[in-house]
Amino acid sequence: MTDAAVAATYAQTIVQLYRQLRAREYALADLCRVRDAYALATVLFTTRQQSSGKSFLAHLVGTASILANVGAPAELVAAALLHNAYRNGDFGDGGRGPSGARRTVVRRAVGEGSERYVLRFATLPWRHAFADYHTRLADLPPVDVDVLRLRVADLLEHLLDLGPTLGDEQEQHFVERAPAVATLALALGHASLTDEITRQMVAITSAPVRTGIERAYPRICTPRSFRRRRLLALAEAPGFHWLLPWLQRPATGNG
Amino acid sequence: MLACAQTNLQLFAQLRAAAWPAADLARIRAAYDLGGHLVSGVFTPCGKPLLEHLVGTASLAAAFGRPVEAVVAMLLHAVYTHGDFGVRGWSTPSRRTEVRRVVGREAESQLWAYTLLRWNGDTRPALRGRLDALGGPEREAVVLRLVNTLELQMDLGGLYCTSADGRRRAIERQGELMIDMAERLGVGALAAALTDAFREVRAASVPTELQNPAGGPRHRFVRPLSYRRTVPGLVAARLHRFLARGRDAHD
Repeated sequence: MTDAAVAATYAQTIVQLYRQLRAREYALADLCRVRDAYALATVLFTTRQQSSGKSFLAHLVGTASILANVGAPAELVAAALLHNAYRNGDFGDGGRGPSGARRTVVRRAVGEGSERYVLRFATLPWRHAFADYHTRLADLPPVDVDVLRLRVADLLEHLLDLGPTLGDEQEQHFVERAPAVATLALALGHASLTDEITRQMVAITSAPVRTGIERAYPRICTPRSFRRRRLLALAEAPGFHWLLPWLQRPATGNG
Repeated sequence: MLACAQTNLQLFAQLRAAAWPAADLARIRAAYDLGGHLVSGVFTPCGKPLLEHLVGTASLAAAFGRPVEAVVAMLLHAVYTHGDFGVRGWSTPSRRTEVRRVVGREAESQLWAYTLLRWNGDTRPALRGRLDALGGPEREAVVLRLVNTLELQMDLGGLYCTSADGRRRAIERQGELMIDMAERLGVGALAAALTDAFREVRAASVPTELQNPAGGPRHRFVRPLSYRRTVPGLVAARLHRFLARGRDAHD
């Protein structure tokens, strides 16, 4: 992975991402992998948004774009489009985390290599460990090092366009972690990402005074004519969690 | 080529940089909240969320100096045709009342004029012929239709769908006409941007493999897998579609 200069702006839509990848001469097979990852992402995150009100799909595309900008392989770019699938994706099974059925869905869409990154994104310790990774990169397997690149891109994307100033406390966590992650980016050989994180932090800390538009959005924007499936709602009620394993089956598409 | 915001964050950054007053930013925020809720889960033929397209058109309208009511209208311009208003939104008057309550009478009137304007290959030549006779909201609606056309071409978006050939033919046939309309409406910057966008579309090619396989020529709804449409919601949507039949679909 080379460390090319980071562009001032990143893709936020799939067509912008295609434009960027084509300009960087990614092969057609790579673009098709990205297409397939995005197609699954639209199903898993169709109505999800960040607390800043930005659509979750735009965040996924932005993360992939940051990685493409530093020349990441297509497998990692595709994984970026699904990086939070096991934690926040709606597989229709009421569960959370990387179950066998869920992994099958992701593997079928983007292949073994990308799914490995998505899985490791969900399982690599982060919340209490992110500050130390830069000291022990040499001890980590290559997959974990790539997933740390994905983590850096994820955090940077959260900081873009003053996102944390409109979001809730969770967005503030990204601000608090930014200095340590900037150090990690440097250790990973991405000085340009360190600079970009620093630049975004300066913008956030010098953001204009509150203008009255700052209110956190709900994470799921449910269409009005829809309600949670009865069986799922029941399984999520106290005393009925034993039903959940029965619901753990591969998502079969969209009707 | 001209760039435009595609997320609410980018749009707010653009408007803040243009020194929009706080009261107008609050109106944009309210319109975004409503639009985001109504078109949640709807995707354009090229595969991007419809909400991002709405933001893009609002961003362009602001960049071309359109009034705040027009920018608000663009943030909602597809809600009457593609929005899920739920059970209470079974009739057009109830939908209009709700939108009016959020964005005000003037912006809603602009949005309604946009929705009613018939805009296709058959109507555009006649519209050009009577531009000078059009009243305020209808005249602005033509500008906004041109803004919408421009946004659809941004980043070659119109070519990443299975109806790409038809869209390219429409530009071949009526691109010059639309540029002329923008000039005659006094929005020279829009005419210049359309010229650039159409030129880029004519020269570009997109591999068929990347044309959104799930997207036909129309917008589509992607249901969250943990949710089901309610029967009353389905009945309300069907009833509204029946009552509003014949109105132009959003392009």
